[in-house]
Amino acid sequence: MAALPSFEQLLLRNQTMVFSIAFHALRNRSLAEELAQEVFLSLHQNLHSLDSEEHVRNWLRRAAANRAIDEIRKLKHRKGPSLVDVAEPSADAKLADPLELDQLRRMVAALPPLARMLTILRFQEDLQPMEIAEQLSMPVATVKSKLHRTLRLLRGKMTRPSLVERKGA
Amino acid sequence: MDSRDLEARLPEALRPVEPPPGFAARVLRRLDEGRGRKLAMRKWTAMAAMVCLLAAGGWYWRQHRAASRAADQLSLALNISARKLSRVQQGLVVEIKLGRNTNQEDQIR
Repeated sequence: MAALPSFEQLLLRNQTMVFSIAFHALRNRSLAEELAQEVFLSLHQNLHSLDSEEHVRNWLRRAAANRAIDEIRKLKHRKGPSLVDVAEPSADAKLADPLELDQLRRMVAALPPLARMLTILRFQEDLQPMEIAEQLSMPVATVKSKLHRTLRLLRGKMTRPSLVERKGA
Repeated sequence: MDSRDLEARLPEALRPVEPPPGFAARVLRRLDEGRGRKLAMRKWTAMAAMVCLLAAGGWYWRQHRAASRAADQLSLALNISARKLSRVQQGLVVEIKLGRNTNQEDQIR
């Protein structure tokens, strides 16, 4: 078995993945950096129990996802936008791609904590439901049904006419 | 946006984001700070243990000295008492002997 790279190398190779999970979940760069730093400090303490780079990557993904879910729940007690608060894309926004993507990111960030993390792991990390289930220690069926419901929710939100359009009609 | 569109757009919307510049350096610095704190903590713990040990040793030594002084005093007191008792005993023996002699002389007479 190949020797595990140094902590510094592991940090450099995985920093984007960990930061992205935190950033897409929290939509706040400083909170995401704080969370990502905590994940790497925790990795340093647990490095002795990991034996391959793949194992380290999975460990980091799981730690980042779980910490992000906890952080979202904590932030939710303060004040966060709910999916209802997020404005639906207007007809103009549909033409402007970057705006539409930003709108989509906002909608993902307004999802409930677990649904948000499932969406991030599925579409950012390109994990299959089986792999997500392993990462979050959940039944595969639950992951599939939650993902299905989340996509339906997002789709509904995307296709529904915006309030402005409805008022104008 | 239709459903296939949404699933195609999500990876694009959630594409990886680079961490802010200097992120890795900040993690490594926090790690060093943590190590420094741990070392300082160990040093303070060792010093505290040493102080506790010295205090306990001092207390034990004082107790031991007080006990040994009390034992010396007791031994001295017992010696004095023993000497006094011995003297009294000798006096009694002499008196008894003298008493016996007087009785014998009286009987002879």
